Amino acid sequence: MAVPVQSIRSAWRSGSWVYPVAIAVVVALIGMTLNPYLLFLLTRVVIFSMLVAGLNVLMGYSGLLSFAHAALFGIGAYVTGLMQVHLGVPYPVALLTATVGVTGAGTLLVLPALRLSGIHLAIATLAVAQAVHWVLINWSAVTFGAGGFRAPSIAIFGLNATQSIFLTSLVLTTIGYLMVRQLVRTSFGRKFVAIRDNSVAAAANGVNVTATKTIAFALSAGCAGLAGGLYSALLGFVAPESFNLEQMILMKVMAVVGGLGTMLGSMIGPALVIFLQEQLRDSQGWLEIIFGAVLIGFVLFLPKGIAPLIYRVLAGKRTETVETGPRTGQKVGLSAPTDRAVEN
Amino acid sequence: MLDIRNVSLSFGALKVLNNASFSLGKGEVLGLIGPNGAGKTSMMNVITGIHRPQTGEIRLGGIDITTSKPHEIAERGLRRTFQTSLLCSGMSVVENVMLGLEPQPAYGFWGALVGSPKVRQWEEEARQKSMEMLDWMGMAAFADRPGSSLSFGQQRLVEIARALVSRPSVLLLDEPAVGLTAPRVDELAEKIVSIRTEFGTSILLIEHVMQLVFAACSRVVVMNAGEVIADGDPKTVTADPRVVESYLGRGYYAES
Amino acid sequence: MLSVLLASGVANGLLYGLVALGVVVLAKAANAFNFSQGDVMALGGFVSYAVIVTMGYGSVAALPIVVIVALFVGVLSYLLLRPLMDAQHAVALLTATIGLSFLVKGTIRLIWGRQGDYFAVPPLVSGPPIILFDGAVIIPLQHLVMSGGAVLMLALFALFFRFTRLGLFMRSVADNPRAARIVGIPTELVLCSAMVLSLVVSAVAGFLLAPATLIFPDMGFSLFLKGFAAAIIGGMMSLPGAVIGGVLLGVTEVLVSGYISSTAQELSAFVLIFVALIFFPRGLFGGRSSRSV
Ligand SMILES: Nc1ncnc2c1ncn2[C@@H]1O[C@H](COP(=O)(O)OP(=O)(O)O)[C@@H](O)[C@H]1O
Ligand SMILES: [Mg+2]
Repeated sequence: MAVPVQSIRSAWRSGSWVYPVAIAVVVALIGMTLNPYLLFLLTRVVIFSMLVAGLNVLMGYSGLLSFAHAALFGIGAYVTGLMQVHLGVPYPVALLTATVGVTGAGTLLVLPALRLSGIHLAIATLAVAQAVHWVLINWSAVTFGAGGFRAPSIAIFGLNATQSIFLTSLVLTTIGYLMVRQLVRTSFGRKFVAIRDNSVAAAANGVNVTATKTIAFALSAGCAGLAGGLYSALLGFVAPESFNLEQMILMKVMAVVGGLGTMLGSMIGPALVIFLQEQLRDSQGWLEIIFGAVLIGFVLFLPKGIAPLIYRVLAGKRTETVETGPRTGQKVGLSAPTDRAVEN
Repeated sequence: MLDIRNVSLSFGALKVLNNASFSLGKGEVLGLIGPNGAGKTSMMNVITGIHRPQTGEIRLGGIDITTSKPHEIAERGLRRTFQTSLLCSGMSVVENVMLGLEPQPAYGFWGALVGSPKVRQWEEEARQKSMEMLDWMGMAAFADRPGSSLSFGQQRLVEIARALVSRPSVLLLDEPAVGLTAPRVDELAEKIVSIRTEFGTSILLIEHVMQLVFAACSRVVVMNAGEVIADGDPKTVTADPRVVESYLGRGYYAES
Repeated sequence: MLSVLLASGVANGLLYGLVALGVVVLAKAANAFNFSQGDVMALGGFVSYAVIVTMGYGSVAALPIVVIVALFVGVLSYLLLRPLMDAQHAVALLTATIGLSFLVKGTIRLIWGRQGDYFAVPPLVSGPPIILFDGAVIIPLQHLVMSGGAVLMLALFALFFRFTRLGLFMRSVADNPRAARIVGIPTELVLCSAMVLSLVVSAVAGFLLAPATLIFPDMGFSLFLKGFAAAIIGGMMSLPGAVIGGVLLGVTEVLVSGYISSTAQELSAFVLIFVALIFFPRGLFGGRSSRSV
């Protein structure tokens, strides 16, 4: 029995698409049997996984702090919904336009990122996010203001609305996840990590820091835009409060809890946070206290999140391996010497 | 290979480089020595585009790189190591070395996103090359360890491997012997000499450990307070009274 | 009209300046930023609401209680975040203080949230506005009291840094942390005091702000944002700069709200923050930055 475990392990590590797709199929089958409420939650997890996967590229891999992704997510939802409502455009066209548009908008965020880093970048993106939120509320002629608007849902293969958006989201998220995961295992992933860990050394080794930051912003914005477009069809009702700062912080919690710089974490984080959020739905106060405590607790005691623990279980032994960052290695950690070599 | 002409650099009122000039010949190992704060690291930062000098000109193989960006200079075949930098902790040792090969992989963004066969092929080759480079530096056993788990001296050697893996025409080393024991320093000197003989790389070596300078360098440039005060073969230069005065100290004079 | 606007702009701005003071103190002494400052400011407002409205004591009693609560929160925050207060953990610390901000806000909501959405605290001093030059200049008393309180706090701060031993320690750590450690300045004490001071000054700002506005649990974040912006405008490293930055921000806000539109007021703050960060990252008085790489 040891052999299959070994091969599952290395297949997972090597970036094979078989396992994620198999998991997606299982999730699809389970999803179709769920009642509408649970399916709604599951779909949220799926959509947020896409969003957090993108956010992870930006914050986890590239070390760029952004507070604008809830706003980008919101723009995706609004553009998708409003194009259908105002212009009568079909959903796929609206979704595509929103994704492309948000990618463009998010790419512009690299401009502050070229000059700023750390908290300064965080605050600059925060100001942008608050400004977007302000526009959503105050440009009522187009956005219907603070009250929000009814966004059309979708129906495919004669399924009901929730099932339709669930399957659509699952397919797109799986594809998106595989692509992003593929990307971070190539030289792009190494460049992301390099500008995070030591951007001066990265540049001296030929990494174009500007281009790399731009790609990280574009990619994460694209994920946010697509996720937003899916979310508008899921919610059926789009309002500014779904995309405020509170949501942004929950997204951050998802990324941190799952594990910054790990693709697996992008799925675990949303699942746990959304589960907890449902448990605490009746008390906003407790929700904030518990999520606040979770964030502090993880930063202090489990800074790499949950995903590395799972990798460790998959690896089957406690070796010192690279748990975050790109995994270009086919057999990472299995052949490494276990003794810590001593110099001097 | 590398010509530095009349370069000056100031940080506000602080003049760090003052009209400094020297050149590095093809296939030469040139030592750059001087007291702490003389501006050696700043010189290296100016050459690699991290700081832009206020005046002066830097040419690499005849091409003006004074205003080029760091990554452009790296792509032109000039690589360096840092005095205090560490490997990227989020990557394994071999991935750190692979970073040295990144500038232009044979695949683009879309290829990487869909995982085209080209990607796999390039990645495998890059890994192969990096492993060979690590092996050459005697660090292959650490290939899959996280960068940050190595000792400072080991990280140095990996950093050299990363700088060399793309076979640059010029290599700048900033105090590579810091924290190494004497036998290790001798090994490093041998390595530096064989970098030159095997890869034909021109090397600029900043170093305080004179043992290494004498073993590896055919010529030495001495800096003090931002100025180049001597330039010549190691024996002559270290006998120069001005150098002894400003850097080596009177004791050194008396000993030799 | 203009004088009333200016009075409220200056008064609000001085309070932003107080938050900014907290930002600067923490940034200088500990090289850290604390997102929960705004929520502690809100907490200051709520505690004074509890003392003045719920318990029925006067404003005079509220102030020491606000300070004590802030001291308590400050020490607790320090103990919690101590392991992260060094250069390698800058981003982790930032993330943790976001958690802290959520914690404080959640606590406020748990305690007061059930009693309503918005709360009003009675004015510290009531009376007719001060009218000068035959009505050409009208200054509402409330704003005068707010400004007075803020100025008093600023003066206390200045005295603290100039004349106390701890203030001196904090200044030397800010100037040169390594040298300060070598000469034996108690780093722990300095870090702790910076954290505590930055929260106390924020809470007092909340106490001063509460009577002039409606307080609500979510008010904190945008206050922190404005305090941070004020600190940026002032150059991040200068205490007077922070105060001037706050006043500039406050006055801009009320002018936009008075002459353009009140909905544009919030937006103006964000625009100002963005512009300040991008074009004047070293502050209005620090000159344009020149950076390589
Ligand atoms: N980024 C910088 N900003 C301000 N001063 C600097 C900077 N980098 C170096 N210096 C100053 O330049 C001088 C030369 O430093 P450096 O080049 O590191 O000397 P060396 O490498 O020869 O010891 C020192 O006085 C140092 O303090
Ligand atoms: Mg140096």
